[in-house]
Amino acid sequence: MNGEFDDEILMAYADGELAADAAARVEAAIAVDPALSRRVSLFAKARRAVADDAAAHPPAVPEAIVARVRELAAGRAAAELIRLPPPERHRSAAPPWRLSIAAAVALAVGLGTGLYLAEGPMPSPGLAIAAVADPALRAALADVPAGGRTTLADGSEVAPIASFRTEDGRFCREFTFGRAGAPVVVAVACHVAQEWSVGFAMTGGVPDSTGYAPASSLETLDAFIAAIGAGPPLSPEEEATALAAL
Amino acid sequence: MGDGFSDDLIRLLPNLKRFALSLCHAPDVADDLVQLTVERAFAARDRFDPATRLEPWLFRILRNAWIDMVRRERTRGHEVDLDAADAPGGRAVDGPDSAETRLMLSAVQAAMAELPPEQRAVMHLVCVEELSYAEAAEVLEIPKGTVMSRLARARAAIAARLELE
Repeated sequence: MNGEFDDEILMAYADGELAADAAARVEAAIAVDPALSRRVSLFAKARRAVADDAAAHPPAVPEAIVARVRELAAGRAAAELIRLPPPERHRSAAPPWRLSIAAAVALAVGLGTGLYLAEGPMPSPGLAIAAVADPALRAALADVPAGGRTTLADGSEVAPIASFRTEDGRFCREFTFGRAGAPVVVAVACHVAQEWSVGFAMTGGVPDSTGYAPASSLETLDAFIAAIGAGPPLSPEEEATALAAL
Repeated sequence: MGDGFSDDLIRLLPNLKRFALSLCHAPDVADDLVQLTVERAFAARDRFDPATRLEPWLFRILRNAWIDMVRRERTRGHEVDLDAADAPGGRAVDGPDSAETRLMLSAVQAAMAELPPEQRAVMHLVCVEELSYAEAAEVLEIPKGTVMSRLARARAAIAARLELE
């Protein structure tokens, strides 16, 4: 129908997307072939019709969204001026040797189907051990507020404990995960690139019959949380906003 | 840091709203998408290279937010047709799909609504938002050749629908 000039080339010519030599060839062709010329013109007209219509119907943007942009910009500026206070719940940065304790304790555990953590040295706080594969667990992490608890279809229980942001802005959640017949796991996962990356997981760290968690296990959890530069736990409102934005 | 970024973002909110509407058709859902895009844009701000154009970067965030929203709705048992090729007139996520709503559409809007979603998306990004083919490819995470073939089909369909000659 169009010989060497198919619709896509003619359209690209109309849109100014062709390199100079290709454009010159099209120009030469449309100069002698009225059918080609009409086709190019058709593409241009369709584009113009759509563009003009859009310009004639400007969409409404709620003022609340504009206000939110300003709020976020101001919040960021304020944070850059004022150092965030150290985390209230967790102690200050642990010496490096504490992290190797965490490494020894971060055992192979199952966290939802298909996720296993390898024994071995703790990767740097910036690296994930693994991503949460189980969609039900992912959904729970995206929904359940800190202090809440949910039971997944396979009977395991997920209980988020706290949410926080790291210094570089990652949204992270500390949570426990319990399966019948297995030790309860406490873990920290950060939401990065649509995934929940588990940076830390260990057994223990949960209250025993006395109602208190073993001090040594909490220290390794603290060491990890401090090492990733966590801010204070988010308030329920801040957490709800962060979860909604996932 | 200053507020070049947030000023530009405010300036582009109508464009984001328009793109969101082309994806979901329902104004309240579109507002949610824009809101979500704003939050994520700020969270990811340090990953934006100011030497590049902000528009493709923002549109990509918005489109990914849309995909997430569709997936989340799906896991809750609400089927949303993301790529329904057989959805003439488009399918509103939550809004009324009544004849009344249709009457309020211009001829162009009606023609656009009749396109399959993947054609409508490239048509919108290139012809309304004036992204280059390469930028549209980046936003939609498809090859440039796919942008071109969808765009050519969309343009031909629009031209026929509007009886442009």
